[in-house]
Amino acid sequence: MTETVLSVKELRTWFPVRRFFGKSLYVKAVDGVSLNIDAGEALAIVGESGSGKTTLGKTCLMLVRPYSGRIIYRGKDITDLNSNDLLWYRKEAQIIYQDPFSSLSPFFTIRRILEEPLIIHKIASADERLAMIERAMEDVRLTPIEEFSDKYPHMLSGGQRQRVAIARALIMKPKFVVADEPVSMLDASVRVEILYLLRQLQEKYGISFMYITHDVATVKYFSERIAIMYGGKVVEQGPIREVIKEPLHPYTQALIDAIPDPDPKNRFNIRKVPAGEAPDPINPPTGCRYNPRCPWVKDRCIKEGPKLFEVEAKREVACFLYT
Amino acid sequence: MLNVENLILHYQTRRGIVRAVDGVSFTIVKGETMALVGESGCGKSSTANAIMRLLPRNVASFSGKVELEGEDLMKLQDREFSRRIAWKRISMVFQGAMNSLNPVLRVGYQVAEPLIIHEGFDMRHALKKVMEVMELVRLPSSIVDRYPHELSGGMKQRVVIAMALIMGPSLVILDEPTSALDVITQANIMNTLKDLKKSLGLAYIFITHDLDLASELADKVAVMYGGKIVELGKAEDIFEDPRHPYTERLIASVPTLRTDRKLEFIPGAPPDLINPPTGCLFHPRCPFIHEICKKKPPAPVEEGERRILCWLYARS
Repeated sequence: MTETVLSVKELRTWFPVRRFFGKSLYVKAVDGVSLNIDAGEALAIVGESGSGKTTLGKTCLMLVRPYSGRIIYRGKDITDLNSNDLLWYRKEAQIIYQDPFSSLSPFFTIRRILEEPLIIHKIASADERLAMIERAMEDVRLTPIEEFSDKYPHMLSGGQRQRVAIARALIMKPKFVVADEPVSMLDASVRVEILYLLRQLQEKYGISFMYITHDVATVKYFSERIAIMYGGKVVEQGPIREVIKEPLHPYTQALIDAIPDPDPKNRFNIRKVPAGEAPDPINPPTGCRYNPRCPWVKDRCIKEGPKLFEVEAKREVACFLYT
Repeated sequence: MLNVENLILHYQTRRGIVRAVDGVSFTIVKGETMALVGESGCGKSSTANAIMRLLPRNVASFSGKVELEGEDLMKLQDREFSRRIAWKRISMVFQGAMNSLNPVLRVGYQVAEPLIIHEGFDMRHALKKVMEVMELVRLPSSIVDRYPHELSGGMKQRVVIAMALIMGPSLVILDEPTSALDVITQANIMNTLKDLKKSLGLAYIFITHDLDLASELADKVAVMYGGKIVELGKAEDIFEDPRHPYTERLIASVPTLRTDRKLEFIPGAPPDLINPPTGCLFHPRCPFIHEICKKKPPAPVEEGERRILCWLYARS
């Protein structure tokens, strides 16, 4: 049996906003998410802006403290550890940010950017560090190494910068990496290249990945399993191809219907998409978060929120249509 | 209706001259949509700005022919262009414009402004006209009394589209009109744009880096690379049978949702428009490179309704 690397249970990340007549109000960015990531597995978290996917990723890395719920990493509950006790976790879990223009220090050379985490965690001697940097740069194909290592980020293209960000995350030999929209800022022609590179490195080192994206079309080139988020909750989870072929949750159905594939016949068709907007995270609708937009809404959906449950092997959905 | 010939727009910078738009030619007939696609920095937005004459101060050269219904717009003085052409006959939806609505004015007034200032409408008549346009873009008429912060992203984007339509233009340039929106909202806006195209007979120049989105609206596709149109043709031809190696690779790099295929990518980076490569601009990344590609820029080759800028198709 494969080991579960990360397991989160009923995770809630709420941010306090203001008091309203003595009552605390919260932005409920993540509101009751449970999921598992196995060793060497890539799980894609898909959702629109404001669905809580980035906050979920940051909470899993303990960059943001959860309001309630548990985070269990390789059998160890890390939810209540303070930052000193988390140092070991900082080595094993890494993040790749969306924007390679703002996530790299403009004052450091590429070599220094890659050396920084090694220095902070007091890993290896100076010579050994240099060897590790060279290997990391080879891994992400920033070669010839001499040409890049003394450059500054502004001298590189977007794709090259994102390679530096990947190298920086992987140089610590992490077991778990959160990649938050790693290709969405890149041009179409390099996007695929970076995606394939990440996939290759993920397989080579057996890293567990949480791939956060709003772009469903890129998911199947990177991961096997997908979790769809809406209003801070996971509404559907399952193997990517099955979910795309036969989406169960009405929101997933709308999301997939809204995505065009390049086909010149598209211009003659009107897409069937629901009106309305994503729920307010401070005052979400009662019951199912999707009920104001759902075409199959029933009384029950307004009164109580459906829980994620297994409909068939490996496929879970949070919708009363399937109970 | 619109005929652009050999449009050139170069910028002066400290590092040298940027050849942002370098000899762009195309025509658009009434009611037709042309998608202008390409990667960032290929000159798509500069082409639009050149047509709308929204030029920054560091222009090094600006020339070519822009004919609208037979009238050469390049001959007009700036004042006359902005009085007669801009917004009335050609209008534009800017990238990210929904974030530049004035936060302290009601949106109805913001849409009505050109009618009141330039056309001498009084507020009541102007607002009546605004409500008509709001209906076209599928917004409730009560929206005129709202402030921008009360609206969602999709609604703000519709307001911006209403602004582009208020003066009744026949050509609208859409510069990444849905780029910051969620996919479902994006699909809703695209539906509205399709309806407007049909009901008002609008012609669009649809600027996007997203090929799937281009296929939602385009009758015709122009693929730009390094300030030039490298391939231009009917949407069916471009999507189903791309000829230029760049177009071919670009289409092969688009992830598709419903079909499975191996994706390709284009090694290397887009050209530096200050120091462009000699010969064909795509040659450093092209898999079919010949000696001549490095030396001489290719001349456009016409094949029916298609135009290709590549030595592979040059007739000897």
